[in-house]
Amino acid sequence: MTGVPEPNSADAGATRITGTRESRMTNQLTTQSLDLRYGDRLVVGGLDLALPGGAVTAIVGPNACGKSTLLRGLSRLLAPAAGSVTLDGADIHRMSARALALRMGLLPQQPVTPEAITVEALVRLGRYPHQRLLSPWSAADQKAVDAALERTGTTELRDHPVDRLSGGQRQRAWIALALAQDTELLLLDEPTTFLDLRHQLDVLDLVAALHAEAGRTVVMVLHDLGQAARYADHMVVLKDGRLAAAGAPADILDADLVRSVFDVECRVIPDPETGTPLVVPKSSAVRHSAASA
Amino acid sequence: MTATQRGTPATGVPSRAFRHISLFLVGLAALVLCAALSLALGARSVPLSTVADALFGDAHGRDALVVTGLRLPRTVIGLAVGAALGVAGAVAQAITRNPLASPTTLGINAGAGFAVVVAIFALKVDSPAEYVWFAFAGAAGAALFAQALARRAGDIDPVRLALGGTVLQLVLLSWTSAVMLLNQRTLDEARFWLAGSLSGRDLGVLWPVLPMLVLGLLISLALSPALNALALGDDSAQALGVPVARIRLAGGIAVVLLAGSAVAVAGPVAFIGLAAPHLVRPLLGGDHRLLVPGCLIAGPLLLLSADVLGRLVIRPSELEVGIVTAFLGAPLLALLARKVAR
Amino acid sequence: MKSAVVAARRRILVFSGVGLLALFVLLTVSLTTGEMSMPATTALRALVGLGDAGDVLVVQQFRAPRSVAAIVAGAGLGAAGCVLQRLFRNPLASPDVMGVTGGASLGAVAVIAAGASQTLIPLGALGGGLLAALLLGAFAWRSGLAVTRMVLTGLAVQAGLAAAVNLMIVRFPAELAGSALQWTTGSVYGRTWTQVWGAGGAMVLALAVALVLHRRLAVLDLGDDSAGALGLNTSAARLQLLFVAVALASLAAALAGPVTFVALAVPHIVRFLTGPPTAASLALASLTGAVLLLASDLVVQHLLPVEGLPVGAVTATLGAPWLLVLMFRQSSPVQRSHA
Repeated sequence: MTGVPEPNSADAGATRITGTRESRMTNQLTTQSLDLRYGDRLVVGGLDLALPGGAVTAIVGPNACGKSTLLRGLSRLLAPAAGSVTLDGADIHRMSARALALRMGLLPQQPVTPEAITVEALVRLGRYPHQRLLSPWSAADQKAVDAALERTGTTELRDHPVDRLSGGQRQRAWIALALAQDTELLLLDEPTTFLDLRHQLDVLDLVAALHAEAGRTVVMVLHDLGQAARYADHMVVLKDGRLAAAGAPADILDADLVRSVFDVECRVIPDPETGTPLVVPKSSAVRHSAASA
Repeated sequence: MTATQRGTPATGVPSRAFRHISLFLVGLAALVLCAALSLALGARSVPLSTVADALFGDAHGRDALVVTGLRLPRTVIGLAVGAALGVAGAVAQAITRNPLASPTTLGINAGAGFAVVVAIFALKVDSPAEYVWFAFAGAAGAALFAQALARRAGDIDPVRLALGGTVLQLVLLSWTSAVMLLNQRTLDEARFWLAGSLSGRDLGVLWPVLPMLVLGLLISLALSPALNALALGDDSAQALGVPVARIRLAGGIAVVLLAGSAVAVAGPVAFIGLAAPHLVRPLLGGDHRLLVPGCLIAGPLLLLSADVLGRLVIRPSELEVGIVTAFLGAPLLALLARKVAR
Repeated sequence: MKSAVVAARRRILVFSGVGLLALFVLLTVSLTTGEMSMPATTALRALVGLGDAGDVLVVQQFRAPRSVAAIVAGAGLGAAGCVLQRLFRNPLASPDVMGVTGGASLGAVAVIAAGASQTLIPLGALGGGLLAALLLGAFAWRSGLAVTRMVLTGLAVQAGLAAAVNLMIVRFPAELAGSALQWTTGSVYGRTWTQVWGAGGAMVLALAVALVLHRRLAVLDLGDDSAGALGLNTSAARLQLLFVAVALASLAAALAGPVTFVALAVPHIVRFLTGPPTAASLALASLTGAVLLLASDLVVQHLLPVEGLPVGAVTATLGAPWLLVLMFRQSSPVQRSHA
């Protein structure tokens, strides 16, 4: 995974985001006054978002702010209680599930791995939206699967049972599934949360590469603000189901935001490696006196 | 944690206790009313005044005889069996941590039925008084099975336990049917008993099992505090000093004693053990020190009501109480399914 | 790891070969043994109408339809169990615990109660099974079909229908009670070719539909989120698969009455011998079910000291050890959906 440019190094900058706005199919996901509920509980309220097409967006926020719920709403898994979600102007809930599946792939938070399924068998399932009721397995399908395995570096693992793989390898297998689906949009729900540092970076580098090569639009929910700042072109910060801030990390990530959203006193400095914003919490003495102040 | 153990926060003590006491009194009153109706209603309705006369006075007429000879034993048996089943259900649900556990769903009733049918077939016994011990043994056998499951249960998926009990039931029912088909006499004798009924039993059937029934009740009451701890999970209960395995064993024994006695007397009556705790819990909460006595009242209430219903629904003929409870219990289980599973 | 995949495929081939061979052998045995036993060649010739008229009668009118009925019903049950266990992600799921068997019993008993002709009983069983499925669907549907709720509602439906059957058995005069009871345990005694063709034809159709829908099971196995993201309408798919499984089980019940345990045990046997579910699982399950039921019927006819036991009693007895194994195994359910 060497040789992949850090997406947000100072020299890459703003041109990436604005440049893609001129492409034909913009793959822009927007929400209008979106309300999402679980039962009676309003989890996301009145959200107006525009996620740039062809860019990497990170959704961050404290626990229970509605990040994962928002992602489920964006991927049609949760129907809006009010408002709408549109993809390039078309309401995704009016589209057929299959039509959307051809445009948007999802890596869920804790994917359910069927017992003893091999990597290849798993990735093959990604071709489901492309297959019609009685269609046999075609050469195009096989090609897509092989390409997906190749791209995620899992070709040697193709006959291994997925549930025997390490966390990082397993995530890559699931990303391969989404790749085999051959979509322009990729949604990932906390892809790094249960991985160790090395594998977290592997997955993020892979996602960045997938974006860089084919201009894929990526939307991912992340916990780590520093990772979000490094890898995302656009950040969406949620608090209590409402939009706290949205924009490029360099523009919006500052100490005031971290204080108001995460209730943590911190300092935001440029990352020594990439120049992107890095959140450094203040010492505990300072934080506790600030809290009591 | 102390809140669960004590059951009431300091500030709410007087009003909570008051509420509980009044609920118990209401329950008792309902039970008395139910018992009175059980004595009065049937193929031939007897006015309450005659009932009173027959019980306490000197009446000797036909109606009075029906009351003292038929309905009184029936009502008393209904009270005993209902109490046993209700408490057995509460304890079963506690030791398996499964809201769907009950003598019916764990296959205990089916075990008793099978033992009785085999006894009728092989040993040619032919009256409920004689079936008693076989029913007890069969119930114990099936209960042991469920108990073994519960012991490994810890956190077994409630659905799996319920399914396992049903599958056990199916095996036993299949064997039961097979035996009944072997022999017309067995079929005739057994099919009525298998429906579960309070009629045709006199108190002579109850006396032999009464000590075991009472013992089961006492054990259940004594276990109540430990059952509260068990509800928190095996690990937490152990950390609180509760000997989890022993409590489960004791609870299992109580269920066998109670369910075995009930089935021995009245045959396999479905769903009372399932329904009673679910009826009591919304009113009295999950504290077993209240729940178990509550089921002691709710069980007979449900059973006698079903019995009275069975007498009225196709007058002058009667529908066996086991069939009535099965018909009422199935929708209950369906509703529980909607509640338990999102 | 390539070898593991190759080994698995080989196992499947061996298993199918053995299964087909067993089926053929058992079928031949069923045609040759009985009160008039005859050598295999005579039986096979009589099957196609050659040879002694008496032989032909016995083989063609009595033995063959019974055996074919067992094969068809067994295939349907095996397939139904395979679909249901994967659909519910629970190793104990089967038409027996979902009310289908109870419904079939009820339908059959209702026909007997109405005093209608015996030939209508299979239709009654079919109708009853479908009724049970409808009840299940209606009660379990709450903006979608969730696994746990389906299983539990199935138990409830089963209990209710069993109660109704019990009611009739108790209310019937003694003579009818016996035949009603017969129909609650499953038997292939006295099946005719009309019955077999009728149910068999429908069964073939249902199996074909099941094979087409089988791919959806693999997608559903990924969990609701992933399946939804792949464009599968999970509730609709579940409903379709449920319906197909119920149809298979009901048709089997129409032919053989409510035979228990075959649908429960077969998927486990297949899994035990060939490993986790694959595209071939459904076909293997049908084959195994056919072999199992035919074998059970032969046991009932020729090996038991007692006369006239229904095949359902044997399958239940054979099923009991499976039950013990399943219930005492400590493994967690096949998959759990995560929050």
